[in-house]
Amino acid sequence: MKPLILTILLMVQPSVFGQSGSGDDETMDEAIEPMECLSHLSRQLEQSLVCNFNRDISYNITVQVCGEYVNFKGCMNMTMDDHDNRYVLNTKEFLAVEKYEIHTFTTSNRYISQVIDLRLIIKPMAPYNVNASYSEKHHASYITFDTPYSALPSKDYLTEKLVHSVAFRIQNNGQWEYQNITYQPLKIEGKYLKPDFIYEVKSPIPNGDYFKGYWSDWSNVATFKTPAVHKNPDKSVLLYTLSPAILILLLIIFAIAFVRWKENIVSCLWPSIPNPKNTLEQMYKKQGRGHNASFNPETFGDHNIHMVNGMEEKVIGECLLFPSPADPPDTQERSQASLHLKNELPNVVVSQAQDQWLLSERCNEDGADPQATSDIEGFSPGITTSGSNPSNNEPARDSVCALNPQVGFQVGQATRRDEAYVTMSNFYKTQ
Amino acid sequence: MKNVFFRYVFGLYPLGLVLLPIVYPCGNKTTTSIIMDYRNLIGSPISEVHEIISRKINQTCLENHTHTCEQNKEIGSIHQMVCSIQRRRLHFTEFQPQLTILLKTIQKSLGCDCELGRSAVHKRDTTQNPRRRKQIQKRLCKLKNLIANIQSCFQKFHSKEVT
Repeated sequence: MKPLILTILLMVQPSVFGQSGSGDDETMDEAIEPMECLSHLSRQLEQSLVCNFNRDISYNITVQVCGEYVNFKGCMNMTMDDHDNRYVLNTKEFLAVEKYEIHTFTTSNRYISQVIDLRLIIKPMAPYNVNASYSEKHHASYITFDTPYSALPSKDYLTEKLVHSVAFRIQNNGQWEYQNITYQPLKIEGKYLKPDFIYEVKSPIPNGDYFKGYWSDWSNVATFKTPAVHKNPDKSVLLYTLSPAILILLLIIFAIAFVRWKENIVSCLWPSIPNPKNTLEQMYKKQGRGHNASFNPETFGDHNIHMVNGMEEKVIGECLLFPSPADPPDTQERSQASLHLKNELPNVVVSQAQDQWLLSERCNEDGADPQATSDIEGFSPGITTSGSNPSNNEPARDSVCALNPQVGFQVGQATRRDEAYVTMSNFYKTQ
Repeated sequence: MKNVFFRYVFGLYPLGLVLLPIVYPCGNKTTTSIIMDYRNLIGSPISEVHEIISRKINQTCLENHTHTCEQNKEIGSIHQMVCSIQRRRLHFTEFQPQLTILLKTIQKSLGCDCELGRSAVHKRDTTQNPRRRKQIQKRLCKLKNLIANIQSCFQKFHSKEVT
């Protein structure tokens, strides 16, 4: 049993060294280093695999890519590019889901193999047709570009999976600034722009969950000029036209105001009132005109007192002229009371003028003072004057023939007050 | 006693291990990788192939219930349908590249291979014979049904695993 096992082990041992690719006379100069590969996968565009050696290879080597392809299972040879270190394989047979082995053979039949996953080493195709334009209306620049994947009739592996990067700077000057975009067009606000910007676009694969890889090459460069000063032209024009007009208008207004100040404006705003107190009285009393008539004897306010016949006139005049001696205080009180009442009631009409007129008529019959007549001629029956002028009353007072100084005195007393009324109650006499 | 022991240890279990790939032809792919492959490599192409086939059909196709998507066995059902397409040699030159790539991608994604037996013979579909044209239409209908079933089975599997 034991010899059998030992024999088997000895037979198995040499087969261990078969696969790793290390030879008997391995030296540093002929060591084959692994290659760095980049792939491109697409359903509609070309598919490729490009591999580079890290250093110059002085001897002929053969590179094969082995695995399962669309229509067969086997190996395909890579072709050497113009650059000595670069090997390329362009074919539609690549399966994106498959892992491939790269076998690198030297002339001395040594080889190394490495397994690659094409999905993880994708280098996309570069964008093109970069166009940058500045919009005066929006005060922003818009950058658009095309990618080979956006123009395809149907969805490809890399469609909508790329994040693009835009680099811009002042032409031939300054540091590049970068901006990642996913949607077009890229809008850059005017405040971030400087004159003479140039733009370049490249597209990387995002470090996504399925496809991974490297940045693409940069696109062509696009330039445009941005205006140096960004101002809103509409607003500035409006400002420049309106402000002088407003200033001129204000100047005209001030000039007119200054010239016509005293003449018109002051008199309009602050009119001179010769006797403000009397004016206010008149304004106040005028409100009572045409108000309710009251038949209360003490507050009789009938405006329309018509001319009475001579007999009545005479009777009234005699009463006025010859009151009883005992009465004066009462009449005075009554008159004062009535006056007081008159003073209180705004509707009370001054009938003093009419009484004076009656008295004067009486006096005229006896040959009265013509002066009084002339003064009283101004009064017509039915007219009430509130607060009859004391000046008018005084000559009338004097012309009451000095017959009844008390009456005159009473009337005079009444007239001295601001609101003096003689009412019918004065004539009322209890027998 | 010792014979029975050694028979079980060195007999049945190795036999079972050898036979396991035959019983489960779909091997070592995880659910996550299958779903990612479906999202990125299979989802769009299968819709496009279905659309291309539908445009070529001039008649109404009868629904085929031979191949159904079994519950909890979606991967196996998809594999059977793919192999059925390969076996029936349902190939059409017009959309051959897309169909082949699609079928191969599905096979590799599931980790399953189809035992074809003999190599598929590509039959020409361009002919003026009316009987031949009717046959072509019938085959197109079968293919369309299978593609539609594969698509719906993938969607079932995807929605089941994602939720």
